[in-house]
Amino acid sequence: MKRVKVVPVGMLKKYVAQERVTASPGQTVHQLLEGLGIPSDLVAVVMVNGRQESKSCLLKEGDEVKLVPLVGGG
Amino acid sequence: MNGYAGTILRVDLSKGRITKEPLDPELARGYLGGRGFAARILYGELEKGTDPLGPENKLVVAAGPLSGLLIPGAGKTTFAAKSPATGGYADSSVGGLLCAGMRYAGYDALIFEGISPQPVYLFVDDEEVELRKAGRYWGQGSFTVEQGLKEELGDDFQIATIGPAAERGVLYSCVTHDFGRQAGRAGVGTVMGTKRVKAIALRGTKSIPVADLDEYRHISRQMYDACRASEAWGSWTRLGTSAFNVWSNEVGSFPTHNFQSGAFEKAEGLHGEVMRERMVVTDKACFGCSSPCGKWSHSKKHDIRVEGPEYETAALLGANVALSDIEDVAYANYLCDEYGLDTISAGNAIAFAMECFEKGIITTEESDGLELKFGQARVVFALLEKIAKREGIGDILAQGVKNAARVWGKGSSDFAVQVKGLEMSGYESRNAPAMLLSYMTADVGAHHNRSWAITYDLAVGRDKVTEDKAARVIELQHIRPLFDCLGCCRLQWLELGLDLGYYAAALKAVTGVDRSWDNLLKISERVWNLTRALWVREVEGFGREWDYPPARTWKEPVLSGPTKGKFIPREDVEKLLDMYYAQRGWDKNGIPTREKLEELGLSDLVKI
Repeated sequence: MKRVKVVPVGMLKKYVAQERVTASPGQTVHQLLEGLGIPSDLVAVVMVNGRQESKSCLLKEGDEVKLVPLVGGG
Repeated sequence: MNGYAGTILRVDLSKGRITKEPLDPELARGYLGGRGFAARILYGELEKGTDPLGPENKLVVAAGPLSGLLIPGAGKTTFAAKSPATGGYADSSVGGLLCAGMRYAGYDALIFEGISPQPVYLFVDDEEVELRKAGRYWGQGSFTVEQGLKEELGDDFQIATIGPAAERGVLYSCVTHDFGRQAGRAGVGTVMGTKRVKAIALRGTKSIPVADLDEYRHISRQMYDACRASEAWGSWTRLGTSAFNVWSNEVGSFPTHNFQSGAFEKAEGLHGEVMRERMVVTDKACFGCSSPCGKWSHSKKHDIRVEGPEYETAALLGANVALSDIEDVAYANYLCDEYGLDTISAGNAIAFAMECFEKGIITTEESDGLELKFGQARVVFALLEKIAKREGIGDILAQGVKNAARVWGKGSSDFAVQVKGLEMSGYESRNAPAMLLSYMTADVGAHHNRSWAITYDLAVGRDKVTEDKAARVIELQHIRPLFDCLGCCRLQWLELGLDLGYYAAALKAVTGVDRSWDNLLKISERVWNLTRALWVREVEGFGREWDYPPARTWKEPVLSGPTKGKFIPREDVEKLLDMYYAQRGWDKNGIPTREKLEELGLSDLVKI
C-alpha cells in the first residue's frame, strides 16, 4: 500500500475526511475518485505534483493529487 | 457621474463627423453599461429592418462601470451591432486593455454609424479625436496592423483592428485587440469592416470618478486577496481554458468530426500540458487581472506566435476537424487571428464542409479540387485562406454553415451545427439538455457565454429534462451577461470561486448607488428581454422555430465515446422550450408578454 496526498478544492472538500489517503499499487486517479465517492465527471482538473494529468494516470507513493471541481467553464 | 467617464463618442463615418454626447444618467441607471448600453442604444436607434451590412447599422463599443478600475478582471469591452451572420442581436466582448484606454480618455462608449468613403481608423488621445486615413493598413492582417499602429502612435495606445476577412465581408469576422484577444462572435468585425473602419486607437490619461475611494480600495484589496488565495489559482493560471480539454473529452462534450461525437480519439495531443510544455512562452493577463489565463505561445513547427489556443479553438479547430497536433491548431489559430476570423465559426464551417465531403454531398468539383478529409492540417489551412479571401468554396463557407447548407442541400442542414445562424461553440450537448437549452436560447445564437449549464447536467443527472434545468439556464443567462454589463471578466468568479457578493459591493463603492445583487440581476433580465425584443422586431416571423437546434440533435445518436447512443428526442426539445418560455414569462412562441415587459420597465420602449 502506498500513500498519496489528496488536496480537494472547493465543493470537493466534503468528500475527503483526511488529507492523506491510501492508494493501492497501480491505482489510477479514476479509481481513487471512485474509492472516495467523488463523482468523476465533477472533477474538472486533476493536478498530480503540479502537472495536469488525465484520470487514467497511475499514482505513485508520495504523489500530491489536487482535485479541482467543475465550477463554471469558459 | 461616479463610476462613469461621462461621455459617449458618436462617429458619423459617412459625414466624417465626430460628436461628444453626455452620458444619459437614465441609461446608466437602467442598463449599467457594456452590453446593457449596447442593447439599449441599438434597440432605440436602429430602424426596423436595418441592413446589417448597410450604413444604417451601428457598431457600439461599450465599457462598463467597473471597466478600467482595480477590480480583478475589469478589462472587458463589448462590441455590438445587428448581426450580419444571424440578422438579429449580436454582442461579443473582448478582454485586454481597450476599455481602460477608452475610459481614461473620457468615453464610456463609441457609436459608429454610416459608412466611410475610404478606409479610416479612429484616433483618440484624450480630448483629441479624429478619423485618420488607413489606406496603408487596408488589406493587412490584424497583428500586422496592431504592430504598425503601435509603432506609429506609441506603445501606450490601445488598438482594436479588423483583418482582411472583415474587409471582404466574411460573416463571422472578428475584432482583434492586444495581439490575440477577440470580440469574436456573430460578425461584429464584419460590421466594422463594412463601415471601412480598419482600427480604433485609444490613449487616455484621465481617471474615473469613484464615489467612496476608501471603500473601493478596501473591497478591491479583498477581491485581489481572495483571488490569490484561491486553491484553484495554480492550475488555472498554469493552463487557462486549455485545462478543460481533457475533462471535456472525458465526459463526451469535446466535439469531433463536426459534432458527430463528443470524444476525440486523439485528444491527448491537444492536452493542455502538451501545449504548455511545447509552446507556451509566458502567461498573459488582461487589465487588472491577477490570474493570467492567456497563454502566449510559440510554435516551432510553424514558427508563429499566437495567444492560445484557448479551449474553444482546440475544440473547433482541433477535435472538430480532427487535428491532433496542438501546433497545427496553433497555426490555424494564427491564421484566423491574422485574417480576423472567429475560430469557433471557422472551425464549424470547415468541419461542416468535411462532413459534406465525407457523405458525398459535395465532391472535388465543389471543393476546388481539395480532398476535404478530416484530420488533414493542410486542408484546414487552405480552407481558412479561401474563406478569408472568399475564393471558390471559401465564398460559400464565408456565409456560415446555415447558408452553406442551403447551397449544398441534400439534407445537410440537419448537421449544419448552428442556432439562429450562429455556429455552435465547443460542447457536444446530446446528453446535456440544460447545455442544449443554453445554446437554443442564447441571444446571439449558439454560444456558451450566456449560459454554460453542462456542469448542472452533470451534477443533477444528464438524462433529466426537468423544470430545474430551465430555471438554471435562466439564472445563468442573468448572471453571466451581467459581467458584460459591468465590464468585468466572469472567470474570477467561475474558476477561482470569487464570491458574487463582492461585485455589488464594489459597484456601490464606485458609483455610490446602493443596488442589491437581485436588483442587478433584474437589470440583466431587462437586457435579456430587450435583446429578445430586438430579434422579434428585426426578424420576420421570429419565434419558437428560431430556437431549434440542428436536427442532428434528435435524428442522430452520438457515434462514439462515453455518451455513445445518446440523443435528445424532438419532444424533449419542445418540452425544454415550453418550460423555459413559461418560466421567463414569454408566450408559447417565445415572445415576451406585455406583463413581463411592464414588470421590467420596457413596455413604453418595446412595442411587439
